[in-house]
Amino acid sequence: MNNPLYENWDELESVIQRTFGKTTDFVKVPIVFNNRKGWILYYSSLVGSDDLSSKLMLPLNLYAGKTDSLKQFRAEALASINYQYLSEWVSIARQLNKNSVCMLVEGEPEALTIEIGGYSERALSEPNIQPSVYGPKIAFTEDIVTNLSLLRRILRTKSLQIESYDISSDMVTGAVLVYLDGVIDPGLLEEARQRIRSLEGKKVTTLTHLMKQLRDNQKTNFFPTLMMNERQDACIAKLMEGRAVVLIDGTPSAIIMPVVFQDFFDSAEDAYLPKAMLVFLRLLRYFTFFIALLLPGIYIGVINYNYEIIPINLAMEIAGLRSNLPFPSVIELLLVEGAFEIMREGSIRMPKIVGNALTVVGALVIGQAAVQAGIVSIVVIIIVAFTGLCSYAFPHYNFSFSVRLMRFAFIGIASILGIFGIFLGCIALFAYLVSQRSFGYPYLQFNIKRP
Amino acid sequence: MLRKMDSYSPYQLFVLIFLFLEGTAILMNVGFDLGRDAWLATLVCTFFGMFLVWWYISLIRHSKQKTIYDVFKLALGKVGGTLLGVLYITYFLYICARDMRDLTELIKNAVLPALPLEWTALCFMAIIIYVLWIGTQNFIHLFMLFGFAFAAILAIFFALVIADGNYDFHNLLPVLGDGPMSVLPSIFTQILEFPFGELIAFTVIIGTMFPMLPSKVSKMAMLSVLAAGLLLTLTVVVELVTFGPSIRERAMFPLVSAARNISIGNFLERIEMFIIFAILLTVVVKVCIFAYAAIQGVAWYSGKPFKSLIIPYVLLTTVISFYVSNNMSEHINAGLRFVPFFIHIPFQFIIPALLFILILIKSRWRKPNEQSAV
Repeated sequence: MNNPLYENWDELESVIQRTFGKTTDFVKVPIVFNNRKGWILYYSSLVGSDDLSSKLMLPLNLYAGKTDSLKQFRAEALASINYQYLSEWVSIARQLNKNSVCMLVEGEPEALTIEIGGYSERALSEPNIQPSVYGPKIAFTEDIVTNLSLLRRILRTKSLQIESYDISSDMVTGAVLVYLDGVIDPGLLEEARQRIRSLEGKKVTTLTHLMKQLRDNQKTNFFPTLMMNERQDACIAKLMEGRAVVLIDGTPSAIIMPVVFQDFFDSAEDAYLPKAMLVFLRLLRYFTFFIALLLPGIYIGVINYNYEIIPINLAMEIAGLRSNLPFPSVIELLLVEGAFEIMREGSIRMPKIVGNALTVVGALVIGQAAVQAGIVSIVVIIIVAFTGLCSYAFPHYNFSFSVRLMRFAFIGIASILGIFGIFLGCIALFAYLVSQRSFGYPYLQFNIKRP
Repeated sequence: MLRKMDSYSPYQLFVLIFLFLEGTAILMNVGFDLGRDAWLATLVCTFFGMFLVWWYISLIRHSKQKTIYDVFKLALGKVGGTLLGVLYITYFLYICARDMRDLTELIKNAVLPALPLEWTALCFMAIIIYVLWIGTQNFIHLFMLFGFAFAAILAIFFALVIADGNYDFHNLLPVLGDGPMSVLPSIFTQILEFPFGELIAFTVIIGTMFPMLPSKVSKMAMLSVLAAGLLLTLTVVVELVTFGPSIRERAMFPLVSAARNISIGNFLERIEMFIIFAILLTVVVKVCIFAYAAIQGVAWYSGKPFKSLIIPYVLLTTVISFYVSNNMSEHINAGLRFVPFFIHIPFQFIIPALLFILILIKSRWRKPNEQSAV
């Protein structure tokens, strides 16, 4: 047994002072519990006053006089609330930081902590990043308990298992591993447990940190090997396929693991579509992937080296449009691509009112004026616009980052080696994808049987 | 469900051998001096090729070893085995360099005439290094992907040839017009060595892929050789029927020329880029497997890790591919007249045959000894 919480009731106040410091949101209230002295401790920033009075103060007034001990009081008056009996200041502090209230009563060796909560939270909202037409209109929120409830409301089975881990340096930020017992591969489960447990004590407070720590290849990460998802139905579908989901307090998304390359071409919406439409949409997405990745590179390769492979009329047309331009085709394409990327980045960060003006200005300046001034050719504008359009067609936003980045590599290699460079680049890209692993599973694999 | 893919499946071997055989054979002018009977010679060789791959696999299986380098040691002892092993490593590197040269000549002639040969070769080399670098399991997995792409491109190509309608089967007649004896020498001195005899490189890989070498594996390998041989025959037929034996004889890369001839509705023209891409995929497979066979040998004898040897040996191969000949015609001439007689036949047939006999004698010899010891 460790040191008792206090030696002497009278010096308790100074002990509390020493342990919790002088932070202003820390509240200590002296109470009287059946003619004995007591303290109630909590953080006012974590415990709502309405909940506190209805859940704790009211029962205290009604029952405290009739009970002899803290245990009896809890059993009679607070039976429906999560509680812990603690005898160490460190664990009490940790519990207080998890929205709890601590009760100390003279003569009792242990302190009672009960979870009250009740601070204000965002209500459930529609998914913003991955909206859908038919699917449920509920996205995860910042609160982990709400998110878990969203999952269990659909998967009402006892095989839905939830394991909590206290990660991060202060051991308070909670991460939760969710899986379906009996469906998940035991090796994967053990690996997931190990990786999350190894994070204890590291500075992990957001999902992005967690993703960085959990993925297989920590150095290079051109393509996402773990999936971030804010949709409840997508997570449930993946859970039923035997994958695991990790949630962390404070981020309105979940991590799905492991994932493969093909998963980034599925949207949660697909489950509500007829089969033929589904196949068409998948093919369309793969097509847009290759267009968004390769089209600018192919353009450079074709007009600089291998103009014979396009129809002769088109080649003449392009040559005619390019005849008076000041820059080489690569510089020209990079100028327009760069402007487009800047515009895209700007329009995300801008306040919504300014955003409209930005797109109008960008479209005017880049589309119309640059062509009329004879700086870039109209073909380049078409290429960049079509490429940009294709890169918006991915169901998963963070996947399009990879494509945007890789596109510049393909432009570079095509300007040196033409179409042959595109071929070599494709081989290298797929060699890279094949060599990646997501929780030990190959990132690119074929004939995945889906239930 | 996702799968981990820790072990190899025989289908992977099928794709591997298939692409390996297509390798540069689909690109080069196979049996150019046979005229209209080239396809028949290829077909006949396919069946010899099936026998060859069965023989190579049973050589490994019979000696209960993993690679051919172990077999050398078993048959000839340490010193003799090492000498023969070094010879074989040199052989693999040389063939690897020749295949690399084939590809760079193709790129120079058909895709990038303005670029120097060295530059193309260096870029290709970088890809080979990367593909070898990602590990055996990964690159075999990658070659499965190549297999799908190759099959799709070839299927589209044959469909377009038929749609184009510019072919004449009379080009194949008369079959064996000069009598069977005119075909036989070329069968045994050219086509059987290239591409079928080059399967000797698989003696290094197959034992590590499938440790026990069950009979399923050799069946699948033979099936793969059959499929590859039939496809090769089909491409030779397509080349012959689209522009006849006399033009085919003179074409440097007949399949590319056949693809270039296709023109449908003034829109689908010049589809040779797709064919070149398919050829590039198969050449990557072939070069990687030869390089793997050679580097695995070096790693086996020197005890150095495989990865540390990739860059120096692939660099060496690239340098050899520059100096292997001065120009394209010299390169082809050497490939058809010199290499089969003096390099392929000893390394593909004579040495393995002698090894097989040696191992048979040794195993006969050993059996009574072991029994008496018990």
